[in-house]
Amino acid sequence: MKCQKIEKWIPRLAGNELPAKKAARVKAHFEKCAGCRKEAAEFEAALKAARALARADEPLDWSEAEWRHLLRNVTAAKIEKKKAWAGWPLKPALAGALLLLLIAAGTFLLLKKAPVQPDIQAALKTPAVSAAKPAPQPGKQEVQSMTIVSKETGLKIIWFFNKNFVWEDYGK
Amino acid sequence: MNEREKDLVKRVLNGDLAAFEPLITPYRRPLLGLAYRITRNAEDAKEVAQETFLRTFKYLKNFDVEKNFKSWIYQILVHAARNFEIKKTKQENLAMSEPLKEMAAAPGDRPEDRQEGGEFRTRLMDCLDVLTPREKEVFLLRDIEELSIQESAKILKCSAISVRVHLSAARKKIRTRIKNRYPELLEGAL
Repeated sequence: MKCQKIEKWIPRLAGNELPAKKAARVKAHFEKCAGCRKEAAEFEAALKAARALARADEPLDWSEAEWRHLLRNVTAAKIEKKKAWAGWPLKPALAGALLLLLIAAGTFLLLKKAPVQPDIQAALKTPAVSAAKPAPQPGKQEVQSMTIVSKETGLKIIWFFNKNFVWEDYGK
Repeated sequence: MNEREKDLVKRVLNGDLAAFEPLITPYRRPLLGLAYRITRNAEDAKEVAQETFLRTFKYLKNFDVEKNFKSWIYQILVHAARNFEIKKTKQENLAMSEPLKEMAAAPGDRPEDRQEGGEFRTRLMDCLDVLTPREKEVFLLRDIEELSIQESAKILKCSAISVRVHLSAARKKIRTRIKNRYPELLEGAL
């Protein structure tokens, strides 16, 4: 194992936070590497020294009169009632569910409002009735139409064909 | 949370204000000490600790008695200290002219930064000076107060990974500081 990797783990080893498996690998490396061993010893010593300084430090304290005064001030305050939402564990879940619901409702409304694109196959099957043309006899289909709609621009082109499937200009 | 603390919390919530003192007395010195190490000033530390006890009392109804009271009160202190620092910085920025701001940038030069207490405190505070605010919080909670990584993460409202990352950075800086300025502290241990 490389020293570079070990060096990353040394601060955690000093605080006994390294998982047992990693700690064993680090200690195995120490047997071969005096530099890393020394560094680890320094980290442990520094940590012990900092803790010793904190313990040796004479603790700050209030005078008895100050402490009494503080207690009087503190207990004179009003205990506040718990807010309805405070600490509710389902708060994030509910927010997520509401968001999903809003997205679903929005998508549904958008789809509902969007213009229905005529289907070419359906248009071919559906006979188009033209006012310019005499009413077809029952059972005989005189005119066929084909509608093509651009999805991008919405441009609609309708072609009409006679019974022989020859294009005729019914617009004129 | 131990049974005694649970009982005291219930008594306070039922209107027995005298029960608040035995509830917070065990935390009187540890909280003041931690506040001092964060703020670097005795008067500021007292203000932060007082604010902590005030919030503890005011929001005791929000406390879940099944959870750890120590973690909760430490969490309040850390947030009170952060708010205090923000407020103080704003006030200082408003009150100071530019040349004074430059002078204030050098830590240890301000009169309020002159640490009270003995040599041990001075050395500890000198070591803590090299840390960023988050590194300092993590180092104090985990390495000085000896709370677990999980407890520290909960108090600081961050992930355990974040605590580990800041802790490693803090330990590196502390080790370098002690090695450079107080090598005699390492000699005995090496």
